[in-house]
Amino acid sequence: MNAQDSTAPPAGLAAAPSNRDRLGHWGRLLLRREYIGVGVVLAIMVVYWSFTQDRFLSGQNIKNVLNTNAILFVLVAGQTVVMINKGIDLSVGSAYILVGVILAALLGSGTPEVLAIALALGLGAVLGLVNGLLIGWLKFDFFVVTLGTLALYRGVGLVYTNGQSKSVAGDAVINFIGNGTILGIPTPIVIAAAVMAVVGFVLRYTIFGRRVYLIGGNEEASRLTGIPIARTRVAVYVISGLLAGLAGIVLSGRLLASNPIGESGIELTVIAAVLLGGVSLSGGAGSLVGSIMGVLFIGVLANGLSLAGISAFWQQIVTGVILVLAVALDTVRRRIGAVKT
Amino acid sequence: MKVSLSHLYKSYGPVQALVDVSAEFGPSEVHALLGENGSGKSTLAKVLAGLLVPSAGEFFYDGERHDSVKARSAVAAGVCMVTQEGSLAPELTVGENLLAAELPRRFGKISWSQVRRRAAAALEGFGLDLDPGAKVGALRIDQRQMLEIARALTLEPKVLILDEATSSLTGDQVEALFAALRRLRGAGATIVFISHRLSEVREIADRATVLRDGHLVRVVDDLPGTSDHDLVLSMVGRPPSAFYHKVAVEPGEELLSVQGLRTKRLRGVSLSVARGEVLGVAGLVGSGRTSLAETLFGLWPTDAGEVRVEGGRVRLKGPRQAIQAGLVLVPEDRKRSGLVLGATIGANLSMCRHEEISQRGIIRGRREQLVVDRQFGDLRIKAPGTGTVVANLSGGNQQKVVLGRVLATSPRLMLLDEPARGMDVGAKSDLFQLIGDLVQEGMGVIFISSEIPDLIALADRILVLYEGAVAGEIGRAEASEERLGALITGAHPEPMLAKGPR
Repeated sequence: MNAQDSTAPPAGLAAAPSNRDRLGHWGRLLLRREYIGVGVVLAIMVVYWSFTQDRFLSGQNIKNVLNTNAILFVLVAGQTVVMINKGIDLSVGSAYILVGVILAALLGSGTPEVLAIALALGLGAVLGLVNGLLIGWLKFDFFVVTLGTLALYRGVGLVYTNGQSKSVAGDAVINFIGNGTILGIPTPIVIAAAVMAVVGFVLRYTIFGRRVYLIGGNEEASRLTGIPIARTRVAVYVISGLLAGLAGIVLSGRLLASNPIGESGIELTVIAAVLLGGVSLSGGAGSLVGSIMGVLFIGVLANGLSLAGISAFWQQIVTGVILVLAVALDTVRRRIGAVKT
Repeated sequence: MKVSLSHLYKSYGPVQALVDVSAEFGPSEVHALLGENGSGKSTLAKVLAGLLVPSAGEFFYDGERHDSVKARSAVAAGVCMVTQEGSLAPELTVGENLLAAELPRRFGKISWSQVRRRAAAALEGFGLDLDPGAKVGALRIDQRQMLEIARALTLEPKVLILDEATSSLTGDQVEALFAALRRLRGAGATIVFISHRLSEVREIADRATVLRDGHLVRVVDDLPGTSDHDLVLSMVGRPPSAFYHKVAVEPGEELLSVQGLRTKRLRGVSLSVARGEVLGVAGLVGSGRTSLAETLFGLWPTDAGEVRVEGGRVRLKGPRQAIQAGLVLVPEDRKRSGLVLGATIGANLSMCRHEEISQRGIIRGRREQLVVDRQFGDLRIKAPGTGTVVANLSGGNQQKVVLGRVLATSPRLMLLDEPARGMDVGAKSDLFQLIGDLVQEGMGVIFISSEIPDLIALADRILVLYEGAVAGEIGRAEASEERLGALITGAHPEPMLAKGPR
């Protein structure tokens, strides 16, 4: 036998120095947090506008930005959970409109306000449960399912109202939720902050939150360790639906009416904010802090443009460009980060 | 066409798949590539077909040099490869798939009548009874494989590479294929033939090249004059691993007993494992060895059979029930089904113990850290800390994380599916040491491996699976590479040796 078992590899096959080593301190910092890119752009925007627009940093303007985007914050919190779990909920925009419609109908038929609000929240949870059962339990594709319910929920709202909006102006609690203040802070901001605190806690400190990440990161490995995949996934969509319900109630309060034809396409803004914040479509990574930055980015951009007297239409162009840049940064980040240390 | 390779290297990161391989495949010959799983056969075949770019080395078609062969230039040169993976479009018809490279056209538009006619002629020439209009997705797996070969033949290749292309074929189909190969050989083509079945190799091949661990170890010019025993020895023949010395453990009472286990892939498997015992499981890819581990872990439905753990009957319902019964699985593909690569070492280690590290659903950080630190220290995982993301660890350390996770559940029996794959000698010796320690504490282990020396080094008994059934069981004392190799490849073990050279 003419065995030749030990042969030295030829020159040029020796391990190349890791890409990581050449990055330096700032480069490594950039690698560490997903939301660093959007964070930097956000900071530059804030600095720029605080010098060029004297009203920008006023308490009133900050309050405005937060209040205007309170609903977005609530929807984004739910979507963050869904997307970390490697899903997408396209139906949130339709669900929150439908909840507003049903809330107005309940109030119109003389249901006590608190009960009506509770039922509206419950409806949101049920709408999420429908998604959850189809996706988590029957294992249908999340994109197709929520694209379907996006049309379905919106259609139900339109058919039920025939497209007519309905006033809820006479209801004190609803009015307080939409337009009141708590210790001088607008109620929607308080609600959004509370939602962020709870969802942030759940994601970081509970077993459920841990499982949301693990299943999103590798479903097969999670299954082999006995983690209940279906149950967790159903719950993820129920949370998204519940928060859509809450957002619908806040919207009703702000408009003092239901609005079955309004706000088409908000789900795309929601998803954009989550992606800007560094949650990747491949799941298992990202954080609520990042998503908050994503919302702030969108909110501050719109606010700054309007203060500077630039057409709001520019907002979409800038958001689009930054979103693509954020994805590019994330791709580069992962490509470099994938090198073994 | 003559194909020659000179000092070819191919590496995937730190893994060397081909090391300094020089070979020549002549015209009018069927040349077999032999070797164990992971020996580099498929890599070599893919390099030949231009599907992989070699890391170093030269490459000649009929003496003409190609520096970097790309798929398209290989096809242009008349090189064609058929794999077992399947490259047909299931939604298209037999005819469309068969003639995909060049659909007959009339006035720039595809002529369907010609497609049918030509496809029918090609199928008949190959003795394949298929309707050219049938959808490929509706065919049986063996028919698809035949169609794939037929497609390669319609291209009239000068070099045809068949990589395990016969694995799903019936006897008659193999005969039809061989008849076609002989015709092609008669026309001057070079055929590179890879198969695990030695009998097929003997029937069709003129010469053979044996690869082992990416090295070319032998060129067999006189194939009929070389015995199965001799070939198998070339394929596996290393001295048994010297890096690990098994500590003898007196097996205790029976831990796991399996009687007549039948599933889609298993045809009545029975086995038993005692406390303190390592049962090795050998077999080819597709022999049912992974299926056995996964079935015991409750991942596949069973048709028949009885499984008992410490005398009590166990229903194989799912991972959670298996873990509760004291069975844990370390899966074959740790990246796909073992680890959450994007999560930290800590989060991966505590995955099986979520109930214990939490109170009313809230993670108790101190408790989790206790569990995590213990495994991190016991297994000597090399990382800056438990907060390191698993994707950044080496293969050996990643495998330790998977092991640490299952050990955290205090299992009674571990199912290890190829646990040492891709590990260097140091990591492997650490791993074997660890398994040895666990066995001494009374754990039972089922150890699946394609590396025969590893099986001999670690296992008390070795069970060989062949096509879903037990082909034999060999005790540690009687185990030799030749005997195991023969059982694994389904060759006739002793009688063939007695016959000697023909």
